[in-house]
Amino acid sequence: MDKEQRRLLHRLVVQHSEGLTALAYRLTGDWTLAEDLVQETFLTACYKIDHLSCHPNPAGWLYTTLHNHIRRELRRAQRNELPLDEAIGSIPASNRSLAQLLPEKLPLQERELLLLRIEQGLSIRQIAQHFGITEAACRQRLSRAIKHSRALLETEKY
Amino acid sequence: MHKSKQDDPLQLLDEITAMLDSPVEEVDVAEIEKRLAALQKQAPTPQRCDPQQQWERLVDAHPEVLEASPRRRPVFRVAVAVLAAALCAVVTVSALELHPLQAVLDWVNGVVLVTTPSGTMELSSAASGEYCSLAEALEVNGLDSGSLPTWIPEDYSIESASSAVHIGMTKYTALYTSERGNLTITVTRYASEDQISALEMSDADEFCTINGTEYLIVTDQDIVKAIWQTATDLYRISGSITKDELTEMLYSIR
Repeated sequence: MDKEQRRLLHRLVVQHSEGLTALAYRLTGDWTLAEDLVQETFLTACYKIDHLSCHPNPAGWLYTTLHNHIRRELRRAQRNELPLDEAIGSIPASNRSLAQLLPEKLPLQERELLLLRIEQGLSIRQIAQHFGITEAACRQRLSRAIKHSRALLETEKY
Repeated sequence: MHKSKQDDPLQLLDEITAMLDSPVEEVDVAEIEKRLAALQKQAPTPQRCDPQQQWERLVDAHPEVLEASPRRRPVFRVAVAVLAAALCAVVTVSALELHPLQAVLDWVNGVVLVTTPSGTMELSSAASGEYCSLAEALEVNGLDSGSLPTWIPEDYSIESASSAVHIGMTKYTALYTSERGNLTITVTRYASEDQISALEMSDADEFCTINGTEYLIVTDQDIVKAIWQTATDLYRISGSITKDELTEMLYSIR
């Protein structure tokens, strides 16, 4: 990579990181994953810098590449996704509120997500609108939150 | 141009993904980022991205990829690869105590002209090779074998006869072996008379004349040598033999 190409890459990172990460977050519902996918996109740009440096729309190329990485990630995650209704139905009935049942160490956002879905009965679409993420991303987040809760509850038992 | 008709976050996201499905050259990044900004107002992301941090993370994780270097053309890359391969070969061959440079020079000898301060010198056309006897080696390459001894001590038998081409000279060597040690007879054909220098001798050395030819006799511990020369050739006998046997060999030269 020569100095000119490095300058181009730096400029793209500075100008578009924020937009790219926000997009990745809204399509996956996971901030850490979003940052990783953006890094992966920039790494792809490094390896294809010869192509990128003479591309008519390098920023468009970045967004398209990120979108491809996101779609691949969503397909992968979808295979491991919990059937949500079944998972939610398996939560034991109790006199205690869900907020009391959820593990203490569960992150605030995941707690809020589960409360919105289970206690308040909001639809996936409504929750997605609330968080400004896609419905697919919302399902992923709910799936991750339930898995996380179960793991924490198992730990708390011992 | 895509225009957002609603403020619904999902509608905005649908519009963004639709824009991303268009050909990459037509992806309108300004419009996408405008919608992302609108989404940020309606439903802020849990964190904000720090672009400088993103850059540092990329540089830290993949320094080798981002290393700034001068632009290299494909031809330059090929040249670098060839030079690297040649260097590896030289190092390997040197480690095996071979002499690649000498081998190359030997190969070009007889093919090229070498310019020396005294003028252009045409190298011998003789090639390196193996022979049954030293006489054969000389005759095959157009040299007279009449100056070779016709007798050698009976306990010696021939091990090898070969020629080797060097810059400005060709060496023909016969190696004889016995339980006593080795005996070699070497004939060096110079490309030019200028290259033959007068024989130097020390106090322990002596000259003797046999059948009209002057020989330098050198005794070095168990090794006895006889050296003599003609206009273009230098002869040498060297080995673990007695001085009498050496004299006998010199008398056998016709």
